[in-house]
Amino acid sequence: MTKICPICGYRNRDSAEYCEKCLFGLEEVGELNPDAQDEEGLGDLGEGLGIYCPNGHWNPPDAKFCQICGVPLKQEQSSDELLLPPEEAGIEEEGRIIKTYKLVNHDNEFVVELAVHEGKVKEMLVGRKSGRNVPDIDLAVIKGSELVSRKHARFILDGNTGELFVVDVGSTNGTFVNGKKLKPEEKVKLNRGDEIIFGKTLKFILEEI
Amino acid sequence: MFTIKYGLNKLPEEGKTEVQRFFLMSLFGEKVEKTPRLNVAFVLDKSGSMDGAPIESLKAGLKRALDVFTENDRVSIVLFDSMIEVLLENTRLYGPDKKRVKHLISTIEAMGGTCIDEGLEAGIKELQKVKLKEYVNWIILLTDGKNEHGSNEHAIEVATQARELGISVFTIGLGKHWSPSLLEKIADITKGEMFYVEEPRELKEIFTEKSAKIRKTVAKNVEIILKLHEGVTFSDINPAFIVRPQIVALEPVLDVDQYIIDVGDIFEGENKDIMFQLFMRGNQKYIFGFKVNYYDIEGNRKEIPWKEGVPATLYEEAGEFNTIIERLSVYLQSELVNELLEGGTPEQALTLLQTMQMTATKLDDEELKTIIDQNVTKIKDGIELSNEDLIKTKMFTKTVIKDD
Repeated sequence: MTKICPICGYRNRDSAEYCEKCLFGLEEVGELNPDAQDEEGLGDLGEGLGIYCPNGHWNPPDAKFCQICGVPLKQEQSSDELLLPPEEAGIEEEGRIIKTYKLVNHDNEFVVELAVHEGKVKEMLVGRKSGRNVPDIDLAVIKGSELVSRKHARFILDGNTGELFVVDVGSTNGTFVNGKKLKPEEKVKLNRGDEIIFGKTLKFILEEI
Repeated sequence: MFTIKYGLNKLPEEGKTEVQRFFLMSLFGEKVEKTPRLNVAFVLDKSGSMDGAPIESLKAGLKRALDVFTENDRVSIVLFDSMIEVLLENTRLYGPDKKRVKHLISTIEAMGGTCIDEGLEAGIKELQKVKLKEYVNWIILLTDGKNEHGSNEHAIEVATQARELGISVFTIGLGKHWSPSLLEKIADITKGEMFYVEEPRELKEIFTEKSAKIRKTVAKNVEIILKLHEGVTFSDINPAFIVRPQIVALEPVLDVDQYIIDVGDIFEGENKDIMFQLFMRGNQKYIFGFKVNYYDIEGNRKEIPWKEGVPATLYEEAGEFNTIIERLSVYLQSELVNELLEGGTPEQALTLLQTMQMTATKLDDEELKTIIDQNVTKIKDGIELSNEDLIKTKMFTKTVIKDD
């Protein structure tokens, strides 16, 4: 298994903590055993304090640009806001909902609703909560999520076309759509009835409303 | 001669099959009784672009530098433009001789093109006129331009030959038109260092400064010999670096069951730090055995005998080690940025630059941050980086600890 560096694309050995080629810290790319890594990873990132980008990605407090999607970050957020994702901080002003997708995990009777807002392209990170670093869709709460990386995948909700896409963001154990493993950063359009698996075992079925 | 301290960035972790670790070996040059005999060739650019202030400062600086040398030393001066002129053949400098040499230096006139490789080759030839073993052998190379009338491949061949003879090169680039990649290659291959001189007047000091540094050599042609223990391997892509005073990628040479790593010379009061990128078992107890081969300043072969089992323990100054890893990441990412810009993919270069920006902020290095910020702005605006930008980026990313 390899760990792909998000900034230079080098295929590292699975045990690499830093990219062997460019020494980028890979703790954020996802681990085979996320629980064991959580404390260390967070230590490096400043005890959970940080900034969320407009797409909801967590970044270290001194970051100027989002490490995940590259958008510029505002440094002047108040300290309360620093600790909360944008939704919770109430920053978002969203338009009319044109479509809602429903992802269902039947084993756990767990449902994720994804609302597509008119004219807006929204990205939502799927992963496992780690300290104060909470992804938009936290799978840590359900059984069978041990193989989900902290930053695992991203849903893209396109408010112009109403379409839904999934992208694997370099997870350790992969994202599968209808049995096919996604390449890192490969964007796949989802349709009603598709089966999406995060990290080998956690299965969701897409049910459109 | 020198002291060694070493250790890992982080302990291995029981229960893991494999972990990635960095190992730092810090060699510190201690004062020795005797002073070395120097064999130095100045290889200097006298091309047309040096006319005026640069050539006048060069002449003044060179005359001043002669004072560093005693009658036990050897000095040669090679001038190059598109042709080579040996101004001073390898000479032992007696008092009265210095006057003659100073007069010779006064006659230098700037004209012609630039042919660095031929100059370097002529410098090596001059150095070889004495028994290299008995001296500390260096070339001090200065240029203000690109190797327009020479071949960069030949320059690399010549640098490789120099290293095989135990010769190192200080490369000095003046102004904003020289090639940072060529001067870096020459310095790296020969285990020398590269320097940047922004203003011609700085030439008045730099030759004296570098000659005085060579005088402080305490051990030459230092080689680290490693025998990795079972379970330990080098990273395939970046096995080893000199990380201080400047970052230089190293290629450990495998010889049967041991690796040989040439790290160059060690100077009094200066650190030479070597970092290895290793993979090992989670329960690794010992990492490798090592010894150090070197020559003392009188040319006697010496060694620090085998230390069989270096235990998997931490490097005592963890904060310093982390800074080195961060600096190295900026350097490596900057190299990739250059490749990506040359390859015409500025978008990916920008991602790397933004990561470098964050690291520079963390490192609290204003100079480094300023140049990276500026590069980010230019690339975002679709402006090509200038040669001066490339020079400054190279110098600020390559030098880990600033020379005061």
